[in-house]
Amino acid sequence: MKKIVIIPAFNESASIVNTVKDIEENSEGFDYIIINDRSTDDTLDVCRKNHLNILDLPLNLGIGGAVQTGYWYAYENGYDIAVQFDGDGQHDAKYLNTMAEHLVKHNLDMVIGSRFITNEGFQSSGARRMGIKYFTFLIKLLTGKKITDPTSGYRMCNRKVIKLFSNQYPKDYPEPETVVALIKRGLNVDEIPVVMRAREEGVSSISPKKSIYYMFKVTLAILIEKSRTK
Amino acid sequence: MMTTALRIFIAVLDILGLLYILQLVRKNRLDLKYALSWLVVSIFVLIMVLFPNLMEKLAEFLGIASPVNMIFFLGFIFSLAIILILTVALSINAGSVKRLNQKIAMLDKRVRELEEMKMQGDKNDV
Repeated sequence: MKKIVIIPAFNESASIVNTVKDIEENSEGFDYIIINDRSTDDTLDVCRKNHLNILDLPLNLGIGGAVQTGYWYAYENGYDIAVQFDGDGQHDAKYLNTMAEHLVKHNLDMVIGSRFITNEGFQSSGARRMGIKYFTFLIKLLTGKKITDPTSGYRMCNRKVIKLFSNQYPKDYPEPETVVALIKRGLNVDEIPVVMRAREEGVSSISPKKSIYYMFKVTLAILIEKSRTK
Repeated sequence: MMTTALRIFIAVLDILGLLYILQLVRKNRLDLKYALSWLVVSIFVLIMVLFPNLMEKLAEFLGIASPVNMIFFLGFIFSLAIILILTVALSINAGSVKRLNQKIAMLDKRVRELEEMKMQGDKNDV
């Protein structure tokens, strides 16, 4: 079974090497691919110098477009399992094999690494947790399925979903919307508990000012996704 | 009522615009697909200006006091429609650019790998 870690990177020069080291040391049988989303720092140079496996986007696409590049790459190269992994040190590679086992054992289409099952580790700020709870509620309301961490960027999926995502993936803030898309298609989504760290470097793509816009846009995206016939 | 002077003024402007649009299409600067909506607008305005009776009846029917206001109103609606069409075109375009971008990144990687393999091969030959 071919497995790959998709690492979108925008200005992650300080943490990208450690992220890859973490994956290489703590997860057996996983390849990785970094997608450099036209970083303005020296992420590209650092990756090339350390001979890291990298896709270099000529234009900045934003997180959605970058991650989708990874899924497309995974699809074209015949991977059976792909997992999204942040380049900033938030995610811990020791869960990769647990997630893969869970995915295969329960015949799932996607497994999400959730911070809010055991509530251990970095829990995000209070305001953010409120926002996440709101999305959990909204998704439960629309699909009947409880997803404790719908905004988690630590998610693994099978080839069916890899193919789906490589054809269709939202431009920005993709997580909650795509979870709804999968559930609505009748695909199996489940969560396992993970512990996340506070990011080593870089800042969240969602600043406080943007959070209102984020809530509004993602809500709308979820409702539209729900209303799509296919 | 519209004065004859105003009617001539609008008609001349409209015909100039129409000719300019056709010229753009002839020179391949504007896709006929997108030119069509503009042509519809300008031909509609021309008809309305050339046959004011038509316009007055329509204005009366809609309860718009001054026929010229109806031209402005309809022009505005058409403009909005064209802007919407443009936004759709822009979204499609953005999707295409994204796709190309992603493919280029993958091809770039393959080229680098092939070059490296070739370099290795050349070294081995020596």
